[in-house]
Amino acid sequence: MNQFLLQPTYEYLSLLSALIYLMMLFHLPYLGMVLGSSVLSTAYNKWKPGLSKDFINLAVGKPWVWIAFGLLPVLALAVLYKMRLANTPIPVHLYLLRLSVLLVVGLILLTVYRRTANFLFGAAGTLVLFVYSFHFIDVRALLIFPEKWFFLKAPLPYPLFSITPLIHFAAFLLLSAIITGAAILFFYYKWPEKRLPEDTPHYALLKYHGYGLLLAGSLLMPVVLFWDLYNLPNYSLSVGVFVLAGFLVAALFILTSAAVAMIKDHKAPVPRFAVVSFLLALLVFGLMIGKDRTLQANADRETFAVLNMDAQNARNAVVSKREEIYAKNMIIDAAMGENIYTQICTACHSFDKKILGPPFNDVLPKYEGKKDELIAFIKNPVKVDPNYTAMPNPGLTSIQVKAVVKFLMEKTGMEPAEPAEKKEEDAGKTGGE
Amino acid sequence: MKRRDFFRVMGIASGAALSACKVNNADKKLLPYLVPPEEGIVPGIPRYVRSTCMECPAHCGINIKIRDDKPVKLEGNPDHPVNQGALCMRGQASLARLYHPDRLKQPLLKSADGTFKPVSWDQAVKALHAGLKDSKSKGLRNVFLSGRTTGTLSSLAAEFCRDLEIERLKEFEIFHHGAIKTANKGLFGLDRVPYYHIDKCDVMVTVGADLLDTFISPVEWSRLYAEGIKKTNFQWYHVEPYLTLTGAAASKRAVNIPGSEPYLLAFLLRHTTLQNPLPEPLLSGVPEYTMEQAAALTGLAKEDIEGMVKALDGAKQPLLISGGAASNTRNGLLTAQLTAMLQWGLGMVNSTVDFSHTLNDGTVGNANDIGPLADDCRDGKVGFIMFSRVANMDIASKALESMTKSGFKVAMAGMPDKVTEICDLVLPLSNPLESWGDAEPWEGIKSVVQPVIEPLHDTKSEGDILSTLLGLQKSYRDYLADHWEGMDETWIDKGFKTIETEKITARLTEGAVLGKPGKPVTNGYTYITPSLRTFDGRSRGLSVLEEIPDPLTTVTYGKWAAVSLQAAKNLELSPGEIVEFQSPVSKVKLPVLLSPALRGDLTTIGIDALTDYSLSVDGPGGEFVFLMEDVKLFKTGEKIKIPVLSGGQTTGKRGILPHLEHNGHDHGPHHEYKRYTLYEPHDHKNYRWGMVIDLDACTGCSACVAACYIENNIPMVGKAEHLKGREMAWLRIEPYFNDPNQPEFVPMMCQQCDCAPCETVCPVYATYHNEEGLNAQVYNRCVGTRYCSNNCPYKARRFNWFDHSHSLPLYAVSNPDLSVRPKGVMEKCTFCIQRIRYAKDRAKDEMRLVKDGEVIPACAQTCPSGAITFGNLMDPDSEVSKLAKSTGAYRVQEELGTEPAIYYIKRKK
Amino acid sequence: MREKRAASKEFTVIKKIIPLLLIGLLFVGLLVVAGLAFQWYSTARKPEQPIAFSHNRHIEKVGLKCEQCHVYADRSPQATVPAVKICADCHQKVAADKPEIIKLMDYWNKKEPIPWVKVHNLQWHVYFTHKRHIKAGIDCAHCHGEVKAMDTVRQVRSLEMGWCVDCHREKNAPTDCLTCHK
Repeated sequence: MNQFLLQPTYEYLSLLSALIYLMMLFHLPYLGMVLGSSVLSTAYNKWKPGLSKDFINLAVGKPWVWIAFGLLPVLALAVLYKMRLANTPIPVHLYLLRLSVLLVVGLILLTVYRRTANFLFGAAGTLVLFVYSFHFIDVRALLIFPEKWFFLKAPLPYPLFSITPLIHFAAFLLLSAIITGAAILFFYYKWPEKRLPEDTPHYALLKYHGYGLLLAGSLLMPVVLFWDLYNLPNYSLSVGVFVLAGFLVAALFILTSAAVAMIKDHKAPVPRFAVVSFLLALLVFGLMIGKDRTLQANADRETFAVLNMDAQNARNAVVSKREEIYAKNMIIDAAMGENIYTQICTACHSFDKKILGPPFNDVLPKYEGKKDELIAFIKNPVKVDPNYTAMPNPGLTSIQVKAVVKFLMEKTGMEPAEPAEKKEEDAGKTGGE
Repeated sequence: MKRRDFFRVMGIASGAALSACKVNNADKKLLPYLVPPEEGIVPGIPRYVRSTCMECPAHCGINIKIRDDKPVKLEGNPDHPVNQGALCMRGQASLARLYHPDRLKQPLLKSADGTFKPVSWDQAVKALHAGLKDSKSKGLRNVFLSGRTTGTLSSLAAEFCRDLEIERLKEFEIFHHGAIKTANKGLFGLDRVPYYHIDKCDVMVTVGADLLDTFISPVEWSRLYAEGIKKTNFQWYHVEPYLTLTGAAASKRAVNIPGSEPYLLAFLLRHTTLQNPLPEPLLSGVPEYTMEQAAALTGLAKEDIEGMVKALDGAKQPLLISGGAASNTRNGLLTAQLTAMLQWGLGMVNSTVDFSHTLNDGTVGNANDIGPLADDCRDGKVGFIMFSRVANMDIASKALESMTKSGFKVAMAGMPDKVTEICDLVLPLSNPLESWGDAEPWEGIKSVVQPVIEPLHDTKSEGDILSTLLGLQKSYRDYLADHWEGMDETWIDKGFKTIETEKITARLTEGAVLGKPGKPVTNGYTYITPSLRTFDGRSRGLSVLEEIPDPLTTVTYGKWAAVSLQAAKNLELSPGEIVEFQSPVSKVKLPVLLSPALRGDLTTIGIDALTDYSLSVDGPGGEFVFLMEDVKLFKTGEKIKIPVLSGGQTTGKRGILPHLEHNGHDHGPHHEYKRYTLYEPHDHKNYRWGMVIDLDACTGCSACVAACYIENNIPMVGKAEHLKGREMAWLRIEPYFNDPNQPEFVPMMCQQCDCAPCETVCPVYATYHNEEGLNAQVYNRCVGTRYCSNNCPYKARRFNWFDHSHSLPLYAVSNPDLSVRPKGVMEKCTFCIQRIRYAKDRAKDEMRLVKDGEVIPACAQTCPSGAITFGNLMDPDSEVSKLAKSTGAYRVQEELGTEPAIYYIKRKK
Repeated sequence: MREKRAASKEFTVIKKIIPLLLIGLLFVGLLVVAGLAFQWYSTARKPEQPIAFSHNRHIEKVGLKCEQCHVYADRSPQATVPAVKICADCHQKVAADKPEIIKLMDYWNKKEPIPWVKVHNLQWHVYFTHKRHIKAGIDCAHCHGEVKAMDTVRQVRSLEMGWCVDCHREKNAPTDCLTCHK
């Protein structure tokens, strides 16, 4: 796949990052809703079929929904991650592609379950989705640990079960509870299309489920959040993470308050804060994903800086290649060389004195007749003499280097200065007949 | 001298900083060099610098191991003629002297109220010159009294005294061998102590001379002794009044009545066949005794005396040495003279007794010199005294007392002692590890002293002080360079230089006269004994030496006196009771311990137990009289606890110390015990580390114990813990008195059992058997159950009951290759795994396996008699494998089925 | 009447307590987050060095390689930081007017070693040798991260035993306890 990709620049990487965030935001709340509802639906399948049906209808509906919010984001993520982790040999994209198969299987199973209300399909689908989401969340969490990336080569890397991925999965489960609860309240009690009629036998029960899920999730979530912050490695933390965590706590507080208020008023037929809860749930998801993204960005900061540097170098290589071609045909001007010498080289060099580097009169004679070697050296200086420090790369273009070399050669008398007449002759030749 | 110019390399190398004493990760600093070190110095890799140990006058050559520009271990210089790679326990411990918190840190001047005030060097020099001038103006005597000084410093001291018109007195040493020197001067015209070729002789008789303890150069004699016993016909008779390591090592030990050595020697002179005749006038002075008389006078058994006579007669290269306990009596000179006559008569002189290579102590005086000085001081005739490195004048307290009345007193010393107390000006000396110099212990050996660290405090080396006082305008280093002119530069790297000495053939002089015997001591014997752990008391203050038990009694801390069983019965003494010893001259109160090896009612007191005491002097020989007469013992009724670490006095037939039968019945390998275990035998990869300890060679000197302490950062736990039996030494010397007269020593450490009882019981798997045969202990995993120690049949495991202090300055002595164990962690010997690791690292660089002899644990390296051999048991050509298969090789308590990796070689006696 | 009052009293209690409890939880939650943040800020974020040396600039712009300054990495257990002279050699002239360089030359002129704060700290019981790892061909970045992209060096690997052992197992390096536990 590398051959299709340009070396990414910093801006490009930021764009990729934003896209990843967007895809996550599409995918995870949906996944949470599907998981929550399918668990509840399967649980109530034999006992309360009507309730069960309502549960499953919450999220698993028309196919375009699960393709748009389920499959497509995952496929997009595979590509995005690959581009973002371009310089690492980590096959994240392959991993995600494998996972997407699981996702498709799970969703198909659930769709079948929705049609047939067959307990086995429901259970199988839930299980498959459970496994899928566990893998998905944990792999994401593993990306925070660069030292564990090489484990991703294996299909079931054991660090999936280390503490931070497990905490992140617990957080995801709680968030699923929150979004499922909020979705129940919103879609079945406020959303006009899906609104339950008031005479439905499980009207109140469904409502209570919504309250319960919302309350439990939002009460337990901060605990998991604190535990997560405590266990994270220091290099992934930054002020931003804590700010987002603060906002998360606040948002969860509001959710809890809303849930409590609604529970206190549970006799009311329509939950008062259904819309707010749902929006807040989405916000909480967004904050959570943001926090995880920040963590990952902090952890991978240098990797991406290196990517950026590689990109720059690649670009420079392309540019200098072009320059080479131009340089062959251009007339090199010793005067320009002298200019460059005065501006750059004199910091460390002089012809007769030693400043930081050796005096030119001492070292240049060895390049007599070997102009190309000198050009190559200045383009890529290496440590030669143990008595002197290494020469830093002056960062000159090919033309500049050639000019400087011409100047140096003339100055030290190894090459005769071009007589003025010949120059004019040349100019005349090109300009003249 | 570019390479030696270490002043360029200032700054501290990178590494976990010692500036942050705590091990707190947040505070850790990484300090770079200021200037990169020269080629060949790599931080993190130890480098070695050769120097000389100055802890006692033997002056062994040392190899100083330097890590991060700090000395962390002293090892013997493997090429040095004196010690050849070994170093005694005092030498090992002398490293701690560098960082001793009690060290004198700056010049001190006594103010009018008697307290010392710190002053600058300029002020100190001024005060000294003022004091000297004052004394000269009054026409009083000005004297310079130092401990034994050799080499260039001696020349400088001579120059100093000459230029400043100070009398250079004879040097003060407690063990000055005055009797031997006077006797040799009288008989051979050579006022010297000869060299004894112990390794060349086949029969050796030593009378009193504690060769392996403190006599002249114990490390050297130990090495020669080990060479000697390799011969099948080596016989060694040792006659002594009290128990020493020398007596324990000898083939035959005989206990004589104190002070009766002349009788024995007279008998031997008369009854052995002399090869070189002695002149009649000389011989006539020797009394004639019959065997019964001799036995009665000396208290020796007839068989012993007969045996000595026969052995000396039949010997091709006999050797007789007397000294030590035999010299420091009223008959000291007579003993020495009789010895010299026997040495001449039996043809030992110029073969095993070698005067070409004598002890370089020509400037050392004897005890007779102190008296007149003290008298002059009392009479106010002395106006200026300069002391330099006078060790342990505690036994001449009266003399010191008189000296307080003299004029201006200056002391140059490293640590405060009784001498510095009475002085007006104290000049702090740099430790030998901080100074330049040289030493010449024997004629013909010049040993360099090199600094490896800048002086930690505001101190100067003695050479620098003297040259400043002289106004020489050059440092002592330059002075040395002038004196070393013409010497090949590489001698400093080697650490020593052998100089050709002229061959001296001693000849009996005309007119030699035998001295008169002194009054025999009849009762109230108390011997002041030299101390193995502190030499003549000068190594007091080094805590390692107090922590390590005295091998003969296993006592660690505290002063004590040993009383014989009879003396104890007389007074009904029990161990720990405090008894007052009253002699006509002084008295001292000490707790007592019962010693079965002392005969009659003899009691002994170690010389380091005496402070504020006065010993009398034997005029003719010039020796301090250690054998005290008319000593009365009085019970005080008090009792204290003395820490004795030994669990038992005898092996109790526990199979710890079997003996090789005299007639060689025990040929062949040891019994193959059946292995009762459920576990599979271990698979060893490439190496199986094992050790062989030759019990014949082991003298019990405990150098290995000291080396182990320093190498492995073993904490000092102190007296209270020792009283509870909580010693910390990974390696201990166990004395067994199966024969109450001659103990045998077994060095015991973790046996690295193949079938270890400790490995199976650790609940957290902190100890396990690694694939190279070592029983590994993972310190940070240990939770302190102590079940492993419970199970160990050898009791080789040690528990850290407390966090023992490892703060600066002594923390600097720590070996960085090994962790310092915190509280609650079990520790033990692991065959110096850090050295094995280092050798394997080096070997891996060269893509090979570790060769035999490349890894040498600290104990094996420092053993003066080479008793410990270490190597790879899987390699059939290694020294260890061959020794492990030799006759007499066995393992301790094999019948328990522990399969230890340490083989011991049975004693042949 | 009485019933209603009794009921309302109970109700009021519930009405007041639960909101208070919730607000209390909010504060506690924010406090915990603040506490964790503070703990991170004060001890664990990338340590501040006495001189703001930027690896990025020296590797990118100047073109230095790791082993040019960390000279002993392939010869010694300790990789060491470069001697002050190595920095001072170039910086006597180069960029001599910048404030950090002035700090550097200050240390050099006072003959004081720069008290760098150690970033990668191993436990007291660990013996780690750079030499063997460099000779095994492990790239510096594998354990220290992409230092060439860092302005201030920070620790980006956990340095836990499990991480070490994982790599040792993979590369058939010794996994005996005594290899690293000293």
